[in-house]
Amino acid sequence: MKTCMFLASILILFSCQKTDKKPWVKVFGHAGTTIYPERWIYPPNTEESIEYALDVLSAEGTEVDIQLSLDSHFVMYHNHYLHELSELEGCVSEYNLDELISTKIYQSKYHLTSLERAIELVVVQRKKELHLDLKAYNHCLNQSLDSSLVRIAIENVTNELTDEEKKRITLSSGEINYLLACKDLGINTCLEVQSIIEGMNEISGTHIKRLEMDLFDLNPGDKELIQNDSITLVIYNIKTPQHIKMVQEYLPAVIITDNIAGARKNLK
Amino acid sequence: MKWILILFGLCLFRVSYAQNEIDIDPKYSGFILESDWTRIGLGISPLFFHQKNQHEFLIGPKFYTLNYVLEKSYPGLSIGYFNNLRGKKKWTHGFGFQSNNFFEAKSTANLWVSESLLRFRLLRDLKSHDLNLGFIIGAGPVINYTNTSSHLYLQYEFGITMKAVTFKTLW
Repeated sequence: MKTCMFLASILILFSCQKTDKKPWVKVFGHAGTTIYPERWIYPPNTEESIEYALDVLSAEGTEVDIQLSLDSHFVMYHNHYLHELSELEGCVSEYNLDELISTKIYQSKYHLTSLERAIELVVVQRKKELHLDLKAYNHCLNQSLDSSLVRIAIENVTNELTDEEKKRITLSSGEINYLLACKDLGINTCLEVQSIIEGMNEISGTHIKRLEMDLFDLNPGDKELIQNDSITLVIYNIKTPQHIKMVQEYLPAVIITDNIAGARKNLK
Repeated sequence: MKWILILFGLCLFRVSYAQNEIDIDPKYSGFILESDWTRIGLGISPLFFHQKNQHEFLIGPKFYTLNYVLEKSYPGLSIGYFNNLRGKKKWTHGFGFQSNNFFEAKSTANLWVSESLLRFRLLRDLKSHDLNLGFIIGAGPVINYTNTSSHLYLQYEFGITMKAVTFKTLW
């Protein structure tokens, strides 16, 4: 018994380490914590997944997917159609916010969450960052959203925030017109591109200072371009330790990853 | 729920199977090396055990190598128990529980990870009863507790284990 007590004391002492340093790059969770089922503790784009990423894994922020409802409110949802995860049919754009947030998803354990609630959880309560991936294409109507609707919906959920809080929100889209429409709202905007050169040309002369890219779309020659320009780079699709090593070469400001703990461990 | 049912099934199997079994040697101690794949990652535990009749008590560190929660591989404290029954054909099976506790100071939070697992273990003698190789399955709740929130969810594990008796004891 004495041996056991001694071993236990040693282990407890081992565990008491100094508070760790933050990594040099901001680590954001993907759709909360992760979008991949084999890594879920909680399903993506849910309140629980966001809280787990920020509280347990200490992510600096989180990325979420947002779609616009019939009454012009954003809710967090990734898939094209609602029937894939809920009892509703059709698309998010066919329902009002109240109907959507009362809808249960993922075998009735979780709820759809409004963007307003996500901002409250991440930006206001925890003072961390929120990266919004705008899903602007309506697959039920086969048409894209009107950019003025996007602006109004973003303005409605951010107009009560302080300037500092607004700066913790980034709107990301592959279509520049949505970002230009949100120019003077005080939030960051980020253009998702497949080529650094094309992206730089597209945002040249605009207020947009951030580019978002898939890790596997980056080329070795992009390193110099990034270093010589004042753009902020956001890189996503980072899952394995090997991906985490690869991403360091491009000196991104933010990475969106499905392995928050692994990224924080290896990017210090 | 699926894993709890599987463990419950194994427990029932064990109760019926146990009627034809004989007890193992009375008192001895040694070391166990376990490597298990869990929901949060790959864990390794070098454990000390003491066994008296069918009752086996384990204690030692547990490390997580690749995992999705802890950023460092600091040792956690692992404490466990197995109730063993030995078959006639070099097989020993045990049903028990294990508690693993970890602490990590992250940059923005202090994190406690506490796992409580119900476990089933099947061991086969290698050459003699003093060296066994086998596998473990387990399931149970894990709680991740920080300064601001706590998260409770189901943990599960699949592991391989090696058990070596190194000395007989009188207690």
